[in-house]
Amino acid sequence: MTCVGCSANHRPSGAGGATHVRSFLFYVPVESPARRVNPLTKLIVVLLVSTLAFAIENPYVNVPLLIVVCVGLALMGISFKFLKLVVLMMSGLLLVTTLAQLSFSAIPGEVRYITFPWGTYVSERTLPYILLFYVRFLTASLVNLLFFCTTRESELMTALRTVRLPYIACFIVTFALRVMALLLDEWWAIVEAQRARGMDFQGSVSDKLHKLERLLVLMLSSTFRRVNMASYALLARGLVIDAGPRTQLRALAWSRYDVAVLVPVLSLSVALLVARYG
Amino acid sequence: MQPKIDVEGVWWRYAEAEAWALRDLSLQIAPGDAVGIVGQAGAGKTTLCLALAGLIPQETEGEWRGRVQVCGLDTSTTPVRQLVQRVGLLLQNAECYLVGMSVLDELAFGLENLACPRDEMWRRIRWALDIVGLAGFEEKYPQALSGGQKQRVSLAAVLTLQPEVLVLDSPFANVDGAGRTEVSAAIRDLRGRLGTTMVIVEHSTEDLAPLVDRMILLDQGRLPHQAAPRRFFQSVELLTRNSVCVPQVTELGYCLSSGRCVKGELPISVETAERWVRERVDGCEPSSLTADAGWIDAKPTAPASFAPVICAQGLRYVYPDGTVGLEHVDLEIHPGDYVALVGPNGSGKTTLAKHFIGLIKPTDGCVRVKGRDTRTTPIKELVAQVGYVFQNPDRQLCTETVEEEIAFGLQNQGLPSGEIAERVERTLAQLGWARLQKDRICTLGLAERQCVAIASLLVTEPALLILDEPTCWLDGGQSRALMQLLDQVNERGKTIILITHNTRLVADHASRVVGLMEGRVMLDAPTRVALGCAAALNELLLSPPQVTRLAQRLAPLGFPPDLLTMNEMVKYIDGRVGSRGRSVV
Repeated sequence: MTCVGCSANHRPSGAGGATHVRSFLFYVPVESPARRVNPLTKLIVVLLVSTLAFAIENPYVNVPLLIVVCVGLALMGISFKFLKLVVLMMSGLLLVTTLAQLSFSAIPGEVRYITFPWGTYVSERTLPYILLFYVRFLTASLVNLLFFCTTRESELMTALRTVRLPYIACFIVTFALRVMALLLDEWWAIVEAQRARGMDFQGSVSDKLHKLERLLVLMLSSTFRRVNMASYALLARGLVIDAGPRTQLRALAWSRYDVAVLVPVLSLSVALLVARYG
Repeated sequence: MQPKIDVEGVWWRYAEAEAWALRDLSLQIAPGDAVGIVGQAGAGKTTLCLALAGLIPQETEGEWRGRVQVCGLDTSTTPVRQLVQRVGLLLQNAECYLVGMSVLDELAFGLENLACPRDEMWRRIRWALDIVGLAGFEEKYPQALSGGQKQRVSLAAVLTLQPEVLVLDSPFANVDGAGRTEVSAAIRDLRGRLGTTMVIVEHSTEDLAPLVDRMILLDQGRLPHQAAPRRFFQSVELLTRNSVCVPQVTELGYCLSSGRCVKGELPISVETAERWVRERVDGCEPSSLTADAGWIDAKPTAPASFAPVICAQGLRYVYPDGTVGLEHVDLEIHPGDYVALVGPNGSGKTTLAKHFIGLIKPTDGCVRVKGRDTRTTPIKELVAQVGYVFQNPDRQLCTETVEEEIAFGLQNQGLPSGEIAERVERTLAQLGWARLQKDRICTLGLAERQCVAIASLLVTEPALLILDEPTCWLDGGQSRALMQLLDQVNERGKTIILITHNTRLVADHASRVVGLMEGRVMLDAPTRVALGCAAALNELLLSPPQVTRLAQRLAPLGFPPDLLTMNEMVKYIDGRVGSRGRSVV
């Protein structure tokens, strides 16, 4: 049973699994063009696009790049309803960062509209700069979201090992994703169990904080227990970080789609970076 | 012949623990043998399993003495990675051990670590999934599966390694009837084809006994009793003292034999019980006791004229991905009902139960709890009427002491502190737990934590209590105590819904059975009718209790085929044998 618009198989488990919660950095098993491209290609594209977003400060590059990434997300067939929360959270964070930039930057210009007591100011160039800053960071965030939504963590492992990254590094990255998913599942199971006891998040700020504190303590103790048990499970299946050779279930396969994506992205990236720094 | 497993004089104490978990334990298991281990909670069963796989002492802090050799390798010095190629370990409570993002990844993980070639990996994965009945589940997220399915995924992950020795801790826990049959078949298959040596820890002796050559009792880290199953279960008193739930037919034989100078072995299976009972009733007339006068343990059912506590009409639930979870469920549960909600793994039992507390809202139709529509009533108001005990009590226990925990639900309802204190004290007194009032939750065992979770809901005086597999991790003694508590609660007029796979529990306690299959109610009948309906039970992948199966096999001798409990069988046989005089038995 796969989900057509959101996370896979979020059918509640007997012990109180949550529905519809794994929506950040987690694989969404939707049939999409991204499935035809191998994970290493996607990883390279993500790294290149992120590099361009950070390295190049030009609206004629950054805005089309953001549009292309948004189109890419749309083409993946993932329902915006599913991504809405993630995109809103990311936008919110970026907005806060942007506002901080507004208050604490000093972009030279001909006119200073506002001068802050601490010495920074807002000039006629500040707003365009900040808007561009927002666009660049949003581009980098969305392209990474696109990657994680369309790539299993085991595929990421395959890609990283193909480029001969040490197994310990590959394991840390992929296991971090697994642990995040497990922790989120555990969190929602705990919230559900506590709702079944009448806990809600109404009341004063201190009431809410007190309730949140209870949940976090429960979460912490549950996490320690799960990590301890998970370590036994991993060891019982032969995991030794610095041991000998390993094989992989999934093979990295190259196809014409990889070439069709990599060649133009690589060429364009090189050209833009050369133009910027050459 | 050198033993496959050789445990010699092993002592083990966990770091910061005062008591030894294993005490001078010695044990030998020959190649190809299967050994079952039973004992009460805390006896050292899981500790022994970890020691056989080398995780104790290599990966666990503590004090170790003695020697364990598996396949000729010393488990305290041989690297664990080398050991796991010989010893496969399935730990209990599968949910906590699943770390993959798909079933496929979960099963492939061990094989990748051991550098298994890709083609061989795919072959073993398909084989393992076939054996546990989860073919087609490759891409599913393990954490979203039902409890029994998770257990099967964990077992499949171990099976893919095809070890020479398999150590299984509670492989049948939480698994439905079909799953148990598949797991049993897999165990037999592995022994038959590959000669795998097995060590199986399990509370369900009825599932365990037919699979093993020898049974072992652990008691506080020691090994006081071991024998072939036929001889092992003759020591009923010893086993009962150690909270081991002996097979029901063995218990039946023991009850019939007590004080009557009966010679001969007690039966341990339905087949041997049939012969045993035939020998004893041979020549007796069918009992003069009628059902009304004699052997039936009546379980009162609530009059249907009372307004229902739960009323589901045309209930339909569709998961956000479009999968239908429940279809056209019409159900009424009346005050005082004791309902067993049964069905295979993934049939919708928990989904249905969560509708009753408002954690899930219907897609179509409606659910009313004491007349209040769950779609429009806040959960906080519903929980005043419905108490839900999850399978894992630790997610519900969020305070430090027993007293605070029991008061927690009342605080959420906004009751005054004086009334809260009074109700907490009353509940503790009623349950006989006044001495535990100030105990810290973290010092309690799983069964005690389960009981605290139940008490914290009972104190809110809900009309309905829902328990999701409350006994699946408990030993025999703990299960009995918990079920007695629930019986008392039901006798005081509370409605109970018990989600379980254990038909013996259903027969002993429930007055009504509701069976779900693929989201539909396909059985709703009094317990006696439900457990006597072979066709329905087959559809639900359930098997009646041993006593009922025995009665059905003895039907040609005039035995009523709907005998449900051991008590009823004893009364019937007593009445029958009594017709030609007790001294005959």
